[in-house]
Amino acid sequence: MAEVLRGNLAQLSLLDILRMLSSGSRTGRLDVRQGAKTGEVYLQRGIIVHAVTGAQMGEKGVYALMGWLEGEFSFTPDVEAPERSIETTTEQLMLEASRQAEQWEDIKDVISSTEAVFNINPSGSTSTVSLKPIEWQVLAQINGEKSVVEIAEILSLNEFEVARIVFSLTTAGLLHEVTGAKRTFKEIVDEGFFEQLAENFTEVMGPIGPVIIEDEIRLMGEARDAFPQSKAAELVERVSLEIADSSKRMDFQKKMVQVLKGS
Amino acid sequence: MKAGLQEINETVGVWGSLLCTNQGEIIENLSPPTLTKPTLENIARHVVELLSGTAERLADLEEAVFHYQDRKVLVIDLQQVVLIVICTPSVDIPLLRMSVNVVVSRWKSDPAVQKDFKKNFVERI
Repeated sequence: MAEVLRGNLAQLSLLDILRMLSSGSRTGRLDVRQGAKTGEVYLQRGIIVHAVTGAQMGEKGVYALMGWLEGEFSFTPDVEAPERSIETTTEQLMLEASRQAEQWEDIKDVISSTEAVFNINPSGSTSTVSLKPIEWQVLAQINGEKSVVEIAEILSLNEFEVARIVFSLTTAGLLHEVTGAKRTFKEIVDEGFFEQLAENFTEVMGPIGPVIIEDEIRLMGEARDAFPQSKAAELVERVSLEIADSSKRMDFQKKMVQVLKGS
Repeated sequence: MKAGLQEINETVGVWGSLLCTNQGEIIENLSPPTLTKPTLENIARHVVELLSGTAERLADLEEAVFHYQDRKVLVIDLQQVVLIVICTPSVDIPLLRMSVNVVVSRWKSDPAVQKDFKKNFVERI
């Protein structure tokens, strides 16, 4: 069973991928992964028939995955859906997804990234603002430290939904983006980490080691010279999965856990 | 076993960890006092029930991460006993998973720990 399509959502949106697979009348499973979160969308001759991510299934699952703006995907052809959870036509699903994508364009003017951090405006809004329960829940999480993506995770909402609420609260004058917070959040790993990673990995894998590391960095949609600290452990874990011998893999992870905890 | 739990707890974002039997009875616990015994027993019972429910469908399930509003719970099925790690939602799961792997692999090769695990083995509910 060959994998025909693989890439990063930062380069190709889920909407574009599904459009492509749907117009090509493809059958198979689209796997999406963002850190520890995973999702699956099944197509049958170009029709989206089933989707699941975490506790969300069916249409909700598709929309939740559409809200993932970063992450990786891979499509495995000729995999049958285990069940059918979507009755809405693929055309309608795409239409709703396109609407979300258009809204995201407006949101991006206010929220630079889903890793952006917001705080409550001390002066508040100049007019009366009424909030829905879900908006209250998001507002209650705003503390100048949590990013949009972290709030989405805490509230079990998709990133798009939280970004849309933060956008409306910000345009209502209730919130402002905390400058500098994002920079702190996206701390970059130093070259020493890569040197230790390459040294330990090459010890097990031989000269192909550094090549595998570079491949994984690229698949994660990152660059070596601006690699976020928050993804360092994920990179180590991913490359370690290339080590077939479990005892050697364990030794490698042990060494790298010490490096990560010491950094 | 306590040293292993201590090592796991040193990972940033971990509140506490514990080992329980396949029926949710706590064997060893290293959690802060904020996580009271009834809370931990509830978590342990809930986790073993979930494992029992999914075991048939996911025969090879050895690890699961449950996402709750205010916490993440990493569960490792060690067959004879169950390891539960309670964390903040923002814990670095890959780092935690590797830290746990290191401890678990040491436990697997430690006859004294294996003896303890065997002693506490009960059939899953």
